Amino acid sequence: MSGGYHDAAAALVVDGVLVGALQEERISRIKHDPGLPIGAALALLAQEGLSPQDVASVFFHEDPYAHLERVLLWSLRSFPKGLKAFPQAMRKQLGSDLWVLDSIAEGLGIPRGRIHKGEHHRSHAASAFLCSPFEQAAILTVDGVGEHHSTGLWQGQGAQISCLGQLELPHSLGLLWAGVTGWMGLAVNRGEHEVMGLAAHGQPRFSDVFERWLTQSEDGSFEVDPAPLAWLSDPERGFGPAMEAALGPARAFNARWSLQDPDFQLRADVAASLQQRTNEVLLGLATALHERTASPNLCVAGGVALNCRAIAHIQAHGPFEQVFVQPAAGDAGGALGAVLSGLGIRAPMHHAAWGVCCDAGRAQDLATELGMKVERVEDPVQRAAAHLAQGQALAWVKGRCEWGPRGLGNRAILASAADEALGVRLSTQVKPRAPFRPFAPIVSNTSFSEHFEGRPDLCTPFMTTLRQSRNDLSPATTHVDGSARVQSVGPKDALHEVLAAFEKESGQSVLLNTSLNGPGDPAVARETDALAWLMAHPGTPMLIDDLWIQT
Amino acid sequence: MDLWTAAASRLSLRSPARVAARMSAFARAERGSQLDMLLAASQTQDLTLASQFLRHAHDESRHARAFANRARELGEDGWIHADGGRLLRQLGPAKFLAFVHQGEARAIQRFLVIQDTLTQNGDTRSAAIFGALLDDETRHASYTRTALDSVAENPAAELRNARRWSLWQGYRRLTASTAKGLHDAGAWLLYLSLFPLAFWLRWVRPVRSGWVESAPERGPQ
Ligand SMILES: [Fe+2]
Ligand SMILES: [Fe+2]
Ligand SMILES: [Fe+2]
Repeated sequence: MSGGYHDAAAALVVDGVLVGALQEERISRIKHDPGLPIGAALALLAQEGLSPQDVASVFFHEDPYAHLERVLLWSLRSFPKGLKAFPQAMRKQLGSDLWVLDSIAEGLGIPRGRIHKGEHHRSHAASAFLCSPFEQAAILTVDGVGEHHSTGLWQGQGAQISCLGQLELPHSLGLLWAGVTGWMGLAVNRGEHEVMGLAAHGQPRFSDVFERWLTQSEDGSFEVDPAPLAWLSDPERGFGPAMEAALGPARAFNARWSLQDPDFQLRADVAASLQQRTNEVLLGLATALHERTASPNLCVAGGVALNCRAIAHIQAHGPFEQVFVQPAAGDAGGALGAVLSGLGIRAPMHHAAWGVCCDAGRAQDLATELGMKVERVEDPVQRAAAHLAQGQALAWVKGRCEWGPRGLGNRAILASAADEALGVRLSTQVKPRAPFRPFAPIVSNTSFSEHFEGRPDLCTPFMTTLRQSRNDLSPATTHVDGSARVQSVGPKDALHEVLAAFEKESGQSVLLNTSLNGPGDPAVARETDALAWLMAHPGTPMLIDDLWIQT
Repeated sequence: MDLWTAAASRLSLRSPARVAARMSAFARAERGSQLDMLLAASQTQDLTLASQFLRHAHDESRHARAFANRARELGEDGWIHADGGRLLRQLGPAKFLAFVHQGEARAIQRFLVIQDTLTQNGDTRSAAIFGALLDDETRHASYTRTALDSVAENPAAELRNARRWSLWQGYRRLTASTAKGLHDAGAWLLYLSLFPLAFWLRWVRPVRSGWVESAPERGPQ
């Protein structure tokens, strides 16, 4: 299990085999749910016909006592600046975080002795390596902060992971991103991916600022200047006056974005500068790690590993032959890493469908009760393809919900990627988002190279990297700089047949694919979430297995 | 609704900033209630009731958005972050329905007073939002009451129970906020009194840069 900070999650191993992994938000319906993943754990157990009493061991992803030590240490180190945040930090630590292992035991109703603590970055490292196809690999973990550390170099062999070195606070890429995210008027720990998207629109004209704030040594280690950041004194904003002095005044929190805003270019340029420096530093880390391990394989985890631009940069310019990033690379992934390393097992991951099912039978009954139009269709794939080929959007629900923050083809809003007007309609009416963020394309392995540079690799099925588009056939899914967060699908994936049928109908082989959720909501998991989405989005039909529903 | 409530309502809405803050608070409350109803729907086998819960959740999500949008127009950031969803598991079906019914009935009374106050203050846009929600709230109060009658053996006792529970929750909120105040004051004092330690720490635990010694190999504990 992971939790207590953001993106709580649970992963379940039965008789040495990974059978499920699920973020708490999909059950609690609170996006990035920071609580404990009791609901997710119960849902995964129920799906296997098990009860909490059947659970032999629970592995928590970090060490709550070391976490408390760090909070105390840094509160005092920053004396007297930490005064404002100290009471709140203590309330959280003493009120909940310190007792997290007891709370898990209580929540599941099992003895405390079955709950074991882990180490934050080791859990990250395990989440990447033990799910990878590699027998041995170099592992890089980069996030905001775990207990004391922000970055780690590791080596994996078989089911063993050994640490080569770690960086301590305040030297943290994740916290630098958090500060800039706060300065952009976005929520810290939530809006980082928007900053990454914004970077496509900018020029790195602030690179000297970020080179000053983020310096790197020959051995890959880096230092972050704490002056522009305020993760201790003002953790909700994450930045201090020094950042505003260097970059200009911060944007108002949660203000709406417009490409016409006079300061839009400034924000985009700052994002591009931060992204460029991040690319350089991560590449430096990867290079140093390669020198120490001589491995051809790299696994990356931690919140910063969700930065698919930087991952693409390492792939393109780094010394590794293969790079693997699993879909829940952030703190949710810690749950998976904790259980796999706790048990010392490997679970190579070939798909992301590890969550809960959507019950089509109950969806049918409920939809009928709600007065929706419900129809069992004979050939759902053909029906979906024909609908999409007519230039319409479709909500698609199949099998188990995805592990990680991205919609990877099991809970999706689909549309033709070629239809720019439809893309605009989706981004303003169906799935409101900042105007600089295109949707993601999905394409079959066989058509991949026709549309995107390179070939499908270990990251493309999980959308944890980015590729340059070869053509302008998919305007709704391409960033202004020509890059796209493409997902590749193989013959076993749910959407493979739909893509093939769509190509037959329309002559196009790329679909727009975005996660199925309303604004501020987590992605749909079960039938009630699916129907709630439909009620909020009349006009877009939904296909759950072979059930076609329209409001 | 008594005179006290009306007076308090007037006081709490006397400036646009206060109206905006109130709108944000309502947005959070509506969002919390949406989560309660959505999870209740997923935990309810009875199709009619589950679908009513879903409709209810949909209404509350619209309400939350309407309040958040108005709050934004009045200068708030419009960010809704709410907690909720555990109510049905916590209370069980009968007490849950009784509690929701009472909350909705109270909301109707409160909305009427606020609508009235806002109209008198000339803020017709804000007033209209409350007016537009009244039909929904009336429907919520009514179906929950009907459902309570069919679910509970003794609806009146459930309503009394729910009333007692919400008073208890109010008391707990009050004591929690008092405890928070006391804790924070204590934490500040503690922090300030620790300043010698702060200097000592800089010496014994200096900030470290560069790769630190690898963590010892250890399994889970
Ligand atoms: Fe982390
Ligand atoms: Fe409401
Ligand atoms: Fe209501």
